[in-house]
Amino acid sequence: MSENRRQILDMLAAGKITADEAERLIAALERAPSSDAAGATTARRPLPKYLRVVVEAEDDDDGEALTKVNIRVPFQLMRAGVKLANFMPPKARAQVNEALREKGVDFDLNQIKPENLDELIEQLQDMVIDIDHDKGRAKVKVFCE
Amino acid sequence: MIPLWMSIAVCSEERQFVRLWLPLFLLWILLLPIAVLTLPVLAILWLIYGRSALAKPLALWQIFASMRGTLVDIDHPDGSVFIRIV
Repeated sequence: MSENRRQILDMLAAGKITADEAERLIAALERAPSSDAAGATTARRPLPKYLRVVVEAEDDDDGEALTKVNIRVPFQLMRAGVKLANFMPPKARAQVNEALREKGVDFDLNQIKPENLDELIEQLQDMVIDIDHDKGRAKVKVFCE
Repeated sequence: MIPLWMSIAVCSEERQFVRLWLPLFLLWILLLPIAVLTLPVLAILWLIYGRSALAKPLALWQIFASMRGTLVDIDHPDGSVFIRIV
């Protein structure tokens, strides 16, 4: 029996609290550890530092020509890049947006802001993209670390 | 933190290999006196024109300073590139 529970029972025995109050206190005691544990799990994890892209692709059917790509980009660099992109003239941004749209990427550069990027990085923590392509035998892995 | 070391290696299809180690910390040591000399000028610009006058150079500096940890390693039968900033 825990010390707190014993104290509650002692107070009940001494008539300092009623049975209902004792029951509520014990219930609160039982809830307390679980809420602490939940708090620990929901505590903010440190943000990842890098975005990693790992590619392994076989160009030939015999699998001899193997291409390996290993890229690690600091998120800090992406943040700085977003800040610098804010200085782009609106005309240049429109041209970039148009070029992206022509390539099938419907993306608006004006929407990229440092605060949005932080939110994106936070969401990327749990992201792992694992592509296993059988035909070309390519393996792509995108993740944060 | 600013990058201190940069390593670049390029290998062509003919397997000609070029490898460079760039000790960036030496560059910082050389640039330090210039930075000290330009500091009053920057402070005056800041006072006259405000933060916006230095925003672009600061953003460029942030790009450079945050490159530490970057790794690009591409290995292909036609050639390979390796860049590492420490």
